[in-house]
Amino acid sequence: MSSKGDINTQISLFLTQLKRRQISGAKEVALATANLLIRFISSRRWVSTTAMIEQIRILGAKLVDAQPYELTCGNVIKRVLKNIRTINEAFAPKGNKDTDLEEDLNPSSSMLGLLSVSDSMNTSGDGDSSNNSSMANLTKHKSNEAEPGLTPSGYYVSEEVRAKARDLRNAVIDEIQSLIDEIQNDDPLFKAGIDMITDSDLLLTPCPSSKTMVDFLLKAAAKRNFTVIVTESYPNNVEKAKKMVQQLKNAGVKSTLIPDAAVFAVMAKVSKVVISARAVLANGGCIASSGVAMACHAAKQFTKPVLSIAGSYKLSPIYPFDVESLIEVGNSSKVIDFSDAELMDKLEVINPLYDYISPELIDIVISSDGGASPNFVYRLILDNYSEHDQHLSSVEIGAA
Amino acid sequence: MTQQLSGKELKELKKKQKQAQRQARKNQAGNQAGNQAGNQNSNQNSNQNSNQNSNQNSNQNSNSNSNANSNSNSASSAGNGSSAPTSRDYAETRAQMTQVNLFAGIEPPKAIMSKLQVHSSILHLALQMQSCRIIGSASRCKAMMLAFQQVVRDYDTPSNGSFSRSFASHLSQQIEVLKSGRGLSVSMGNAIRWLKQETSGLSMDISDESAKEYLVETISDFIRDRLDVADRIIVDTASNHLQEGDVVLIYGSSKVVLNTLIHAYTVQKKKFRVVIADSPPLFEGKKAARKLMNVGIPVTYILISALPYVIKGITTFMVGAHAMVSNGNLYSRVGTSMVAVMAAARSIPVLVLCETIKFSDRVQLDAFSVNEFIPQSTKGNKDENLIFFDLTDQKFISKVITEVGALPASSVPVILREYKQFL
Repeated sequence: MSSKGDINTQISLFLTQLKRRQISGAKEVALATANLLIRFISSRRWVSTTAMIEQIRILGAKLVDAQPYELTCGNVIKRVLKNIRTINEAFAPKGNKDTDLEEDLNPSSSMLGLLSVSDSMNTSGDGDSSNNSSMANLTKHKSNEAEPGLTPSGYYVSEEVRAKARDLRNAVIDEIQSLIDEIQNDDPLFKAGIDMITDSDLLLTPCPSSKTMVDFLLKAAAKRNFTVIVTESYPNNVEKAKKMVQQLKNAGVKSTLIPDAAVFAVMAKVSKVVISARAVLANGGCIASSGVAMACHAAKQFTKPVLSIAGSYKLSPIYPFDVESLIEVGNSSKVIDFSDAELMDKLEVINPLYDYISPELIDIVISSDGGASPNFVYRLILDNYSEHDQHLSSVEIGAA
Repeated sequence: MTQQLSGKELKELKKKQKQAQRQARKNQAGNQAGNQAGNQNSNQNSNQNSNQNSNQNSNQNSNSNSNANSNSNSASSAGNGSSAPTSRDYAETRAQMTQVNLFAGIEPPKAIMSKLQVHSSILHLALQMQSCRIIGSASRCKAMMLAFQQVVRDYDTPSNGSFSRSFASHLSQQIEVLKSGRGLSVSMGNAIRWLKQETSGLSMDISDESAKEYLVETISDFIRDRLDVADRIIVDTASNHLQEGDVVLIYGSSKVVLNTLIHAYTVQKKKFRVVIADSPPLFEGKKAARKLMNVGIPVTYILISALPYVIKGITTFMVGAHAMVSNGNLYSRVGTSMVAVMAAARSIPVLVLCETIKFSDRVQLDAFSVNEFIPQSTKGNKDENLIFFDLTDQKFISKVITEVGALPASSVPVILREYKQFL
C-alpha cells in the first residue's frame, strides 16, 4: 500500500500530460499507457482478476476521458484487459473457484474454455454460476476457504489465493511487457508493407506528420528503389513535410513536395498511395491526418491502390457511427493569422486536424499481423479485444 | 563527345557540361548559344532552377540583374569544374539524383523581354501579370484589351507603310512581350486572334485616324459584349440556381462566381451561406472572403484539406474557369478538380461559370501536358511543384453556365463550332 500514493500521483501526472498534449502521437501515448498500467498493477495487491479488471476499467475510463482523440490509449487498456481475461482462463482449468465466475464474465471465450468451466463447476459441485459480481465471488471464497486472511479490502482470502494472485499479477505484467515490445517493434509491420511496394513505384504519401511513415519509407528504401511524393499538409504539418522530404533525400530516396491542391493533378502518375493511420476502426476505415481523405478520394478516381499502415495497437474496437466526434478541430489561427483581424473577426474558420477515411477508399490495411482487406479488420479486432471492453466510459467516442 | 567513354564517365562529363551550359546560357541571356546536346540537358536543369529564375525576373532590368545573380551562383560551380570530385560534388550529385521532375514538360517562368518598340502600358501589364497582381482569365483579358486600346491610340504609322500592315507587326511585338511575362490565357489568345482579324480586315483606303478610331471602338465593343455583358448574363442565370438556405462551396476567387453570390444576396435578397475553400500559395480565397464579407454574406473559410469535414452540409459547388477545353474538361485553378471530385462523390451539383471567350479548341487529358508554374515572389523551395492549373473531368461537372445558355460540359465543342461566326 505504500506505493499507492505514488501511483496516484503518477496517474494524475499522466492525465495532465495527456490533456496538455505533452504526450501525444499514437505510439508515444500507447507506450506511456502500457508503462503506467505496469506500474498500476504492480503497485497493488489483487484479490481477484475481477477486481483487477474493474480497477483497470475505472483507470481506463479516466485516461480515455482525459484525451478522447488519442484512441491508442484506450486500445492499450482494452488489450491489457483482454490479456487479463485470457490469463484468467489459463488459470481456470486448475479448478480454483476463484476464477469460475471470470469465465462467466467472458462469454466470448472459446468453446474449449466453456467446456473447461463446466468441467470445473461439475467437479467442485458449485453449479451456481449466474452470479456476476466480484463481491459475490469473494463471499463465496469466504465460505469455501478454510484459512481466511484479511485482504486490504477487508475480505478474507487464503494464502493459496494470494499466491495465485501474485502469479496472475506477474503473468499480466509479462503480457504488458510483451505488448510494449510489440508496440516498439515495427519490423513485422514494415516487412509486410515493403512486400506491397515494388521497384520504380511512384508513391504518394499525404501523411508527413507520421513518424511511422518516415521510418517505413526509409526502411523500404533500403530494399526498393522508388520515388516519393509528399503532400504539404498545409497548415498543420508543413514543416514536418519539408523535413520528411529532406530526410528522404538525405537517405538517397527521390522525393518531392507538392501542395495539397495538386494531389489530384499528380495522381495520374502516382502508382500507390501510402497512408499512415492514427487509428484503424472496426469497420476498416481509419483516422489519419487532415488531407488524407482527399488523397484517397483522388486515388479512387484513378483506381490507384491505397495502403494504410498501422501497428496492431492502432486497431480500435470502435465503429464510426458519428464521424465528427472522432475528428479533433485545431487552432484556427493556423489557417488565418490572428493579425488578420478583419478576416478573423467575421469569418468562421475551421481547421480539422484529422480526417476519417471510409473503408471503401482503402485497399489494404497493413498491420503487424500482415496485410488485410478493410472488410476483415473487424475480425482482427475481435482477436485482440474482448467485447466487454468495447467501451470503457460512457462519454467515450463511439459509445452508443 | 565523339570519343567512346564508359557510362559513368559519360554521366560525369555531361554533368560538368550541363553546369557550364547553365552558366553560359545565363550570361548570354537569350542568345541561342551552345550545342544541341547541351541544350537538351539544360532543359531539365532550367526546370529545377525555375524558381530562382522567377525571383530574378521580378525586376525589369533583367539583363543586369540576372547577370549579377548568375555571378554569385557561379562561385560554387567554378570550383568543381577544374578540381577532382569533392565531397560536395557527391552531395550535389545526390541532390540531383533525388530530384523529381513531375512537371518536366512545363515551361518555367522567364524574364520579361524588353524591346524598343514596346508600349509602356504593355510592359506595365506584363509585370502585373507576372507578379499575379492581375489574375484571373477574364480580368487579364480585359486589362490586355484596354492596354491594346492605348497601343492603338499611341501608334504612329511609319512614313513608308500603311497602318493595317505595320500595326499588325507592332501588335505582334507587344504580344511577344506580354507573353514573356506570363503565358497567355485562353481568353487572351481568343481575344488576340479576334483583334488580329479585325486589324487585317481594315480597308487600305481609310485614313490612319479613322482606322485607329475604329479599332479603339471595336475593342470597347468587344470588352462590353464578350466580357462585361457576358458576365452579367451569367450572373443573372447562375444566381437563379441559388436557393434560400443554400450552402454554396466556392474554390478560389472567380470574379463571376463572386458577382453571382453578391447579386443573389443583395439584389435577390436570398439568404445563404458560403464556404470558401482555399489553398496556398496564392490564398485567393481570402480575397474572395473579404468581398463577400463586405456585403454581409456569412462565410466559412477552410483550407482545401479540411473539405471532407465540412462537405456534409454543402448544397452547391460553384466554380469559375480558366478555360473549357474542347473535350469538355474544365481547366481551372489547381485544386478545383479535387473539390469537384469530392462534391460529385456526394452528389453535390458542380456548376461551372464560364464566358464563351474562355472556350478553347484545344483538347487536354491531364494537368501535365499544358500547365504553368505559379511565379513565386518569395524564395521558395524548388521542390514544391507549384502548378497553376489542373483539369477537371467532364463527368464531375453538372452544368456549364455561359452567356449563351447553360449546357453540359460535353457541348463545349458544339458551341465552338456553331457559334464560330459570332464568337
